[in-house]
Amino acid sequence: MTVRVAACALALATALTAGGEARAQSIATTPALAAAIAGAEQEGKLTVRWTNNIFGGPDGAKLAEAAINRIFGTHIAVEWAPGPAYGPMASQLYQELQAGEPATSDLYIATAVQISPYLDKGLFRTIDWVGLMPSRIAPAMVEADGRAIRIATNLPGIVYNIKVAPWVTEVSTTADLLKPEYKGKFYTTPFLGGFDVLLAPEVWGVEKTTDYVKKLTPQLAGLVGCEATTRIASGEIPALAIDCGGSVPNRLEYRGKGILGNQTLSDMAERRYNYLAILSHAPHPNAAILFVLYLMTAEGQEKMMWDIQGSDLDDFPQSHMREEYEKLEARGAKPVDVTIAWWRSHPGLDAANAELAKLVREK
Amino acid sequence: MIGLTILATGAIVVLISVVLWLSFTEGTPGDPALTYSLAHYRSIFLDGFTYRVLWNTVLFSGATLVTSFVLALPIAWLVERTDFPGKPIVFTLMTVALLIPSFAVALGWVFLLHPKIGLINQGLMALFGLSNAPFDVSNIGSMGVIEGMNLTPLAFVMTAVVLRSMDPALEEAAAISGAKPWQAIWRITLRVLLPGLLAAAIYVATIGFAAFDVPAILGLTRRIFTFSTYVFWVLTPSEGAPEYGNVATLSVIMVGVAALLSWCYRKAQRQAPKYAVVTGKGYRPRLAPLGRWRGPALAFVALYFIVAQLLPLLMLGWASLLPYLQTPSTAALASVSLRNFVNLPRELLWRAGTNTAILMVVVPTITLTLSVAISWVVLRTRIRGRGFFDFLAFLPLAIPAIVFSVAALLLSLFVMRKFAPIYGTIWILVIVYAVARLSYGTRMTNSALIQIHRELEESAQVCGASTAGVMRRVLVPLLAPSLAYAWIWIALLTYRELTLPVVISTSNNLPFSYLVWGFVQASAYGSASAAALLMLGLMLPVLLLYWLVARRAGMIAPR
Repeated sequence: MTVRVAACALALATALTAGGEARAQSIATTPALAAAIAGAEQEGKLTVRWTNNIFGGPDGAKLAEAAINRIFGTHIAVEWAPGPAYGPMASQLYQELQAGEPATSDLYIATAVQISPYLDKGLFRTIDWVGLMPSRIAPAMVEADGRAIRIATNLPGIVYNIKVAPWVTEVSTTADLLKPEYKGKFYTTPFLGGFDVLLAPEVWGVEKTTDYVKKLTPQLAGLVGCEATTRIASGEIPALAIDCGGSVPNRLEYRGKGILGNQTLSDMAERRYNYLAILSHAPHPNAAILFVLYLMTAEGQEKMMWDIQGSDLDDFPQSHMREEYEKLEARGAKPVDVTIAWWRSHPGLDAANAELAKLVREK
Repeated sequence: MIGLTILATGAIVVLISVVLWLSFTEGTPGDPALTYSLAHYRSIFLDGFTYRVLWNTVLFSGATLVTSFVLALPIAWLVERTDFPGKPIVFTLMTVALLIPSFAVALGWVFLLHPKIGLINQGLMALFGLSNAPFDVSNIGSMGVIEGMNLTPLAFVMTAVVLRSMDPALEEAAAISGAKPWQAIWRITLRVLLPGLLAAAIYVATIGFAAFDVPAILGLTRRIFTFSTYVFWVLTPSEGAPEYGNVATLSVIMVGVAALLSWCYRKAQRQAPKYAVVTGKGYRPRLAPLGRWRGPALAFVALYFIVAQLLPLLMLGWASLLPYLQTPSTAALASVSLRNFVNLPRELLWRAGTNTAILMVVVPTITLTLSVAISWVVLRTRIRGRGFFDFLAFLPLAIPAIVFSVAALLLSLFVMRKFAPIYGTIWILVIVYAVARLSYGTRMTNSALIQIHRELEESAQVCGASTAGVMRRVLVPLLAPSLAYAWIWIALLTYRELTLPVVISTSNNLPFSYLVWGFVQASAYGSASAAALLMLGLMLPVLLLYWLVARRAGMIAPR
């Protein structure tokens, strides 16, 4: 056991410091972590369900499996299966909980919007994340009393095809999107992703946002989901305003290739987070903990989050997204922090947003 | 027979009841805070958008029906009633056609006729210096035509069965009586075939009503909603929980539409005895010689396969080699690789393939057993209210598959869990697939049974045969070709079913189609195409086997 913990500590040290120079940190295999490792080894596997474009689907699962076993000295299998979108997935997991069935996924990934409604319903476990990996996880990264942990930062903007829609670089505010020359040139999401924040009273409020969306609707070429990355890359969809995360152009497959770009709007700047939560009825909770901890290592942030997902967590000082965030602030933007606490302090936003969505469905 | 009929229709009633119950609920099913109201009915029926969507769907479904029949009926007639050469090839290609995923067909047309990236549009604009693209597939008419081409194999197999069963002696008699060929077709052929054709037409129109892939890929992005894309839009919000209540209410509308269509079908079916042509008095099929029309007929069939099947298949192959879809160019060729094939999750593919194989064997067997029982009760007994069984069997077709899945999910989680824990197993899929396919199965068995005159069974009964004996020694042998057809087609429909497993699949019971659907949903068209091609390749030996067996049995090389 001692030998295994020592080996694990060595591997952990490598992972925690990977991808950065002079970033050596003190390593401690805390009792909580040791317990999680032992528990995961007993569980033997981790079952995850999310869409293909989350962590690269099956590719990400394979990568994570190898990394977790290497870093933590375990022998667990990570089984990925395709799952529905954030909203329907939460609904299904909650129904499983109510019926007394084990969860069909040990982990749930979503944003503050989808996690918030289930916080008071006992869907997620409370985890002492800081106690598990104090060298990497700061209290600010943990939300909802440990029921959700931030894994990535998103700065939503207009994701566009650089060759087909070079005009996007001239769009810097929401008002620009209403200019006649851009009519029929860009798409938005059916649920108006990103616009929900404008509904908050301290941002625009319902009336101003509704008025804006009414003007925006005839400008739209159509509706498309945030997963339509390849359709933007092919040029079929020239530009998507606003994309869910704005991170796709950062993915290794597109990075530096002059195919996709992301343009944030200075008066609609938002900082949103992706969270992971462990289900109360997860059959492999310890393996799920190790998955999250791997993502929080420097290696996990670099390989899984930045290279595959296109975004890492800006709470980490050397993160790529912190750089992006600082650039945005330098442009004079004042991003709204859409945390779980922020979303819960604005009840009724989802209902108001659903009304906005009815406006954009009209041609 | 009656027991099986009650079991099958009872399952439909239960699932529809759950949908009806859902339409009155507010909140997430399973949540103790669930409440009841009529709010969904108010919001759906008072929303003008609902009626616009329904009108779009009617137009789409109409275009689908017309296109599929304009193509399928002549091909079926050529194959079944003439000396058209290469009939086994036509049958085989029609079967292969059903294996090509609809999303690939839709994407194929996007890359041919999209205003911005369509090869044909770009070519014409460059050639004639046009500033705007001459073609656009994102309108209801074009979408309906493309869906119609998609459904042509289905319409073909349904009309081929009807044509095969018809005794040409009636047409010959008309000819001897001096009727011109068109008069014989109008007065004899079409009228004799009417019940079977009507059944096929109603079926195809209803599938058009519920079609998803083509409207989603061609229409949704341009805000052209049909019923299915609207349901999907409501059911899969990225923000917030799915609005099950609204979706269920929309489904109640569809049950109404299905009821109307079912009533029409029953009316046509009442005329059935007039058209029974397989009798105890002899059945002498004869083929019409095509003569100089052989060339144009071949060209017509070949053109259909090239445009509706080959192009999408080529598209699938091209897409499978690219990281993201690109029109052919030097840059695109530079990014061609087998990465999408190499990176497919093998273990998951194996699991999904095994599940699909189980479904493809078990679902058609159960569906057809139940379908024969229902058709026999409806057409051969005098039980009061037997028409209601047929009405119920038709309904699953009209209810969006995804809603059926939600109903099955809730039943398996909250009702059946204690005595039949099937949630997360392959059996929940078997049950839902079998129930959902009952409409198809009963349409096929109804059409086949209509064509067999009662006198054959009556003769057997006079000779002392029991009901089971009549079934085993008279009906089943006569129905065998139709049942074999139906079996293989239900197996293929099971193979390509995309939306039924969306809600009820877990990592243990996921079928192959859901794996592909997962790739499609994530816009990973390269991986989706690679997986679809791989499965198409794996299905080829099965198709070959089917071809050999069916040919020996005289099913795909008729006369």
